[in-house]
Amino acid sequence: MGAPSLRQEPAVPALAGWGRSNVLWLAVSAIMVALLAAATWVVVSDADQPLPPFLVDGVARPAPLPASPRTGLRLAGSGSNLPVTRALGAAYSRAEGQHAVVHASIGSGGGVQALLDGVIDIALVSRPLRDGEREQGLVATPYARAPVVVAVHASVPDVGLTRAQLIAIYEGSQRSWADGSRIVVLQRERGDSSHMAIDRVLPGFEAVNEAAYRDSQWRVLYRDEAMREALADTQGAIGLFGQGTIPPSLPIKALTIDGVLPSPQSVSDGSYPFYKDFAFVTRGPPQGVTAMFITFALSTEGGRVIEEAGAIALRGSLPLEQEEP
Amino acid sequence: MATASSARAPRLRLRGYLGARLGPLALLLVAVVMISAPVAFYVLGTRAARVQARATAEQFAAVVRHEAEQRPLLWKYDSPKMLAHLRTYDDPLEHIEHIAVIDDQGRSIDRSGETDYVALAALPVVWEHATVIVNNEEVAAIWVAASTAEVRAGALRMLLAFGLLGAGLAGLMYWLPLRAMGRVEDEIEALLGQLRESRAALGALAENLEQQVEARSSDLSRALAELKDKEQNLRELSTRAVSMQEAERRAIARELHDSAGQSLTAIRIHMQLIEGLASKAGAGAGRLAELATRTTGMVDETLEEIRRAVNTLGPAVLDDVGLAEAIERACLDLSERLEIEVDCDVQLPESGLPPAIETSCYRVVQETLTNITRHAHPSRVQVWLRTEGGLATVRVRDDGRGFDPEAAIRAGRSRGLVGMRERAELLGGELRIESTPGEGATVTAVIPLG
Repeated sequence: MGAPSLRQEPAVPALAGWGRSNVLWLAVSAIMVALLAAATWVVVSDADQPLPPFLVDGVARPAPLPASPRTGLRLAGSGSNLPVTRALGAAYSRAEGQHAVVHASIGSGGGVQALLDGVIDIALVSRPLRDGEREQGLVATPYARAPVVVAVHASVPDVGLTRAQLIAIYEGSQRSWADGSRIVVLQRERGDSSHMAIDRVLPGFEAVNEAAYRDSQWRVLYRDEAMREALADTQGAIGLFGQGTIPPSLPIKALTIDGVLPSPQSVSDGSYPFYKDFAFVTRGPPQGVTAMFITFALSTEGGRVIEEAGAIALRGSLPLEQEEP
Repeated sequence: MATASSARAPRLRLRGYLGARLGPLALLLVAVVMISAPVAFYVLGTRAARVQARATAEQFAAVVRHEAEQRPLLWKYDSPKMLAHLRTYDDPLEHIEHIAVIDDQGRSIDRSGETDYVALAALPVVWEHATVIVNNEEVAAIWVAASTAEVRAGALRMLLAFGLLGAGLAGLMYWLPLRAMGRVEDEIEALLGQLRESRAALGALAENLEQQVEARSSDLSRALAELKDKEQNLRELSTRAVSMQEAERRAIARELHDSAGQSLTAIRIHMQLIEGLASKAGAGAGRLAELATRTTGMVDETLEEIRRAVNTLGPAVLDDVGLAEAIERACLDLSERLEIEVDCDVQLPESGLPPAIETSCYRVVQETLTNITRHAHPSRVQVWLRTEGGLATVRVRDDGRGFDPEAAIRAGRSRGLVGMRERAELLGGELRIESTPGEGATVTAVIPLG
């Protein structure tokens, strides 16, 4: 209580409260845990989302639906087949008094899937059936063959190409026509039947196209109609035309390959190398009205209609297996 | 010297104290900085990817809706081409990991079969979807997966970067105050060192001062003792002087009483005889008788004056009957004169008291009783005397009118009181007068015996 003696050393402040540092550590630890929990909750809650049903339920697809009975035939598939098949349908309706509806292009693969789903009766394909498709009991019946035309806009001065030039153009090493105008390459999508037809007989063509796909080098068109319109509207354009003959009303012209102009005759005599076969695909051997339509298409009358449409008729009997070219 | 003492002195440990508190806070800062920004980046990036996926799904849904309206039966079989077309030409879709079109039966219309759903499920993606409604019926749903791989990688990079940043900031937050505190601590230590040196110097000075004070105190004690001795000597001397004075006065009184008094008494008797003879002698003797009568009167007056002088010089009664009896007689006299009750309680040692003290005690009683007779008008008076503890204490108490002692002494109305006080103080004692007007008075004299 008394005044501090001068002889005594004054006490250094003890800085009481060292014990509270433990409380501070506890508080900091609690805050850090809360922070981590909050961060985890934020991340986890943000990642919590509905998943698409094919990830939740698996990828198993239901069994194909049975073909539902209906009046008339429904045909759909590759756009390349459409001109010839629509002509056949019209002739069939006139001859047999049956309806045959030929839908707009859904591609060969779309036609096969629609057939498997029972939405249509006959799928139209312009490529060979794949193994997986055959394993599902599908049967292909070829009925026509048409040249794959290398077509250009009417403004292009060149009248023909060699095979090497064709590869060079799609490779991008040849960039101009004879008059110096720019070449505009139009590609069909991967798996297109016209490209596949050329790939089979022109080594190197598939590789340059694949490189172009990978580098997005050229415009890619997904339908015959789109290709047709693009060729008609684009100066210096070049593309593959898979419907056989080019309508004379369009500003499009066909180029010769190694001096041979594409036509049914040049394909038949083997002088023109690029062609593809059109086929009907059914679930199992054709039966009933499906067999009637295909029989008509393979008949003489059908062949005449096919040839009038600018293709080569492939006559045969039911059922026919697709032959690999 | 100072360095050695400061080396032994406990340190403040301010740095340790501050460090113990800044450590947890620095760690917390590292955690907050390291976690908050990457988490915010991840959340925002993920939401941006989700927005992109949603926008893409809406875009695809619009196209699919158009196709479904145009081709209600076969639209889904052509959609793969359409989707491939859109995927190719939509550059921002580089971050779109997958686009799936689900028909009304919950099936994907993707026929390629190339989609690895197991791998897709394991990818860091966010899914968004948009529905395709035609004629108020849901015909399809577009599911779009946007990749968050870059967001994750960016968040991890940010985690590292902000971890380093947080560590740097925390290091600064920890180190800067600690350095400043260290400097402050050094300055405080230096000040404390100076303070210790000053304290040591002050201590030495204080020690010297204490020695001086001790010496002075010793001198003062010695002087005080000498003063007390002198005072004692003076008191003894004073007592002796008073005793001698009292003895002298008693001797004078006795002489007056024994010689002049006896002579005057004889003269008075003779004058009475002359007066008787003259009255029997006839006419001429009348003059002689008258003269003798006048002479007798003068002798009576002289005898009275001698009696008063003797009484003043020294109470002969003390020599005659002693202090106790003298006080009792005075009390009895007062009781008879005022017709009041007077208590007298006197206890003395057998050896009696020194004459000077005895006289002073008697004088105090005598003077006080005289004052009571003149002024107090009491109904009761107490007289008390004791010798205890080397002191003679005499106390006279009455219940009369009382008075203001100080005022009475200042006004010079009580020379008796002053005389009593002087008499007590000459003997080394003291006189206390306690009185309040209307409440009686108490006079106490305390006189040392030694």
